[in-house]
Amino acid sequence: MIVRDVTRPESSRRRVVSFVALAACLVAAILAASCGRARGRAATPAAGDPQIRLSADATGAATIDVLGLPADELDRLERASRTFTWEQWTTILRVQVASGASTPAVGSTERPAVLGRYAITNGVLRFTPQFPFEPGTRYEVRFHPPSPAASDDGEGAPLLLQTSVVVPVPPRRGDPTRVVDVFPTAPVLPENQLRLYIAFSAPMGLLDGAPFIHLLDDRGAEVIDPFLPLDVNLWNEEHTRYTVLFDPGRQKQGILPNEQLGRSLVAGRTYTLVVDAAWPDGEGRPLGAPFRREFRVGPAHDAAIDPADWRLEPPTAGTRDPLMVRFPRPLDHALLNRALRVTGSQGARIDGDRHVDEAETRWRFTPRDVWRTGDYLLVAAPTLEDVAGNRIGRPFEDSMLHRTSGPGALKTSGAVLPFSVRSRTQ
Amino acid sequence: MKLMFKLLFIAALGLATSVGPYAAGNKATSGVAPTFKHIGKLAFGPDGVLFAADGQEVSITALQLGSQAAGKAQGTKDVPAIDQKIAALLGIDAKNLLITDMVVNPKSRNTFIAVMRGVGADAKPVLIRVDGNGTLDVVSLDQVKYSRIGVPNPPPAETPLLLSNGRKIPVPNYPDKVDPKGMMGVQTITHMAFIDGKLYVSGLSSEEFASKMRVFPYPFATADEGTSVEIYHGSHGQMETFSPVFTFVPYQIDGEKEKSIIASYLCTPLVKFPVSALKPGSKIQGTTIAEFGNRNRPIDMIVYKKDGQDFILMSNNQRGVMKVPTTPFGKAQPITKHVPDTAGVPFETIASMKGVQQLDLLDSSKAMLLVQGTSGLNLEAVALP
Repeated sequence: MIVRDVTRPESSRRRVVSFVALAACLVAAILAASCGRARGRAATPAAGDPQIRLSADATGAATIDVLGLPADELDRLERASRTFTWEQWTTILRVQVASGASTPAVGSTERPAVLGRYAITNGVLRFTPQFPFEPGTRYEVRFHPPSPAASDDGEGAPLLLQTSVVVPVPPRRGDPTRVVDVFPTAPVLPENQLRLYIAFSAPMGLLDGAPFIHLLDDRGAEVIDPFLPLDVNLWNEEHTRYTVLFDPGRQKQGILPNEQLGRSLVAGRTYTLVVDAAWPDGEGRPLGAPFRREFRVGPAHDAAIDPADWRLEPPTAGTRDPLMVRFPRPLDHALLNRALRVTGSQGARIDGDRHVDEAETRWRFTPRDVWRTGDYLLVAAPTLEDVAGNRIGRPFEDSMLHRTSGPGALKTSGAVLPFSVRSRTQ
Repeated sequence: MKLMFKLLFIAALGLATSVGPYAAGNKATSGVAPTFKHIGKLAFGPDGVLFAADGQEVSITALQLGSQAAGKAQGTKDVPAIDQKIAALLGIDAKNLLITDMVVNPKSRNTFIAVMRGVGADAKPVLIRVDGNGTLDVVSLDQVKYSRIGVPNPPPAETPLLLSNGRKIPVPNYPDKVDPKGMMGVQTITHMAFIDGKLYVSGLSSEEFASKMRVFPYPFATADEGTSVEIYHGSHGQMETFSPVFTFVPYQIDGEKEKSIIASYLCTPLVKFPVSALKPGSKIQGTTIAEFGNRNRPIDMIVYKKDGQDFILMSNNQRGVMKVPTTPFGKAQPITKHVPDTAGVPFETIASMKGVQQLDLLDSSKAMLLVQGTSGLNLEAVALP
């Protein structure tokens, strides 16, 4: 690691302004007040004295500016800077993340300067960070230009300005992010439940969700290791839905984790899913409130999905009434939204909106255009699963007991259910 | 009105049962100065090409790094508390830095680290290079040529559906508005490796409990269908089709004609299958040659030679770093019965390697590790055990 050390001049040979004046550096919005003073003058910055200021460029992005430099100093800097590398610049104007709880192992001399561009324009030396300053993070700024030979009276002694700045955290936009729902929504879940989906009102951050999710039993004790230790976070594209996988090794009967630990859920008992408010959202802020969902646990769902058990309620021609499909037991919420579709009798797609409700036992399809009299198909993809991972023609438990190819293989299949739309008079 | 329907047929939709989205029409794009929404898994390919996965767009980008492939000094010098130093360079607090992968360039021996700067919605992907002086550089992509391909790929517009009377009808695949990412839903890429002209990619769905491997010939043209790899999971005592693959390496097993992929899955079975079996649309059964323990996720795997013998070194999130001699692989008996905890080819847990979060081969005698220390993550080279 190469980090150039900025050696301070001897105190007797310098006139130093070094004050960390966080409050004084902050002005509302993004700009901070100037900090610093000229050589050997009063402790309070005066107009025309060299100053370090948190400023903003034409795009509104925060910059660090050094103002009030004497013309000869600017000239010297400008001449020298033509051959400066970024590292050389950092010895003159160094912007560093301040030490804190997250940097216990790195001293200031080892801590790299913040990456960015340096430029002298209109009498101002400006540092523009490569990535925007992080609101709420404190940055130490040190301006220490090369100096001409100092005279005995101190003229020409090294200039050293030090301060620290913070870009204010912008006020929260809108309401705090919250958990809007957890799927499945049924009050009773099978003891071999495979997945939970936690839905949020706004995009969440990138941190691992596992530490913020807890399962409590009916005595309030935390269930140990109920979920799959993936260390991989499964989100939807918008980062508003988080998938929690129960450990399939515990949920499936007769395999080692199941034999050692039992299922994560036990039929007949009541559990509470808890989501901590501390889980940071996409803006790095905690949730508006913790979330709790109590549910009871019933017997396992071990059978494959059988579409012959589904009940279709066809709509009436000439209306946009929804096609209703009822399932005898809940199906997976996410997959219901993309593994069922409606087509014409020859397979032409029918556009419309889908809606899942009644604890994932009902699927409604409202067409974009009115229904015409005729025959249609409800098509279920082979990927459709119920809440315990059972598929059409293939139970989850059996999925690991049988070969999926070759003689005797169980095949997961899709299903096609025809239905007819008639007018009221028919 | 009497509600009636008749279930006329249940037809096997062979395409979607275990095979991933077909790549119809999914062409690679290319250009200069690629941008990412997210940067995750990395893998080096031929001639300094670095493959980088974007976990948000779910795409893979081949970066022709050119002059960015190497810093000033060959090799990689140890960097203590590298997470804090990368964070400082990028101007953030270390708690807001996520390291997503680490690989060593086999030519320059510089180490490349993929990070997310920030943990919020505005987090920025950054690629860091560490050279033989220990200098940290942000890899500039401004002049870097790239080609990119999407994963998973959109399914074809229609699937022929075989009716019970033998007639086929075209059925459109998933509703456009609901399924922008194809049949697998949004995927997480768990590992990539370049083998003989092709990039092999394993992935995990956020909705289905399914695991897919995909093969992308490079240079990218169109993408392949996925391939399911079926294994017998001895400790689970059952046939496992869906367990996610988390890391794999190519390896020529002594005495076998074809090159194999050695893969490790969740709950740590070690499985071999011939590379050539991974054909578009195929579903193959791997051979489980070891069980390394439950409730464990493998992280990285490397192959190395020491004292004339080949070994695999594998890091795990729960069970430390394991050293596995490969000599027994060829004659290993497949595990087809329930095993209590561990079984199969022998392995040794390396006691000195604790807290290893990333692992790659630095050179013929050293591994490069990212290790959780008492006050941060340390980048350190260690002698291969």
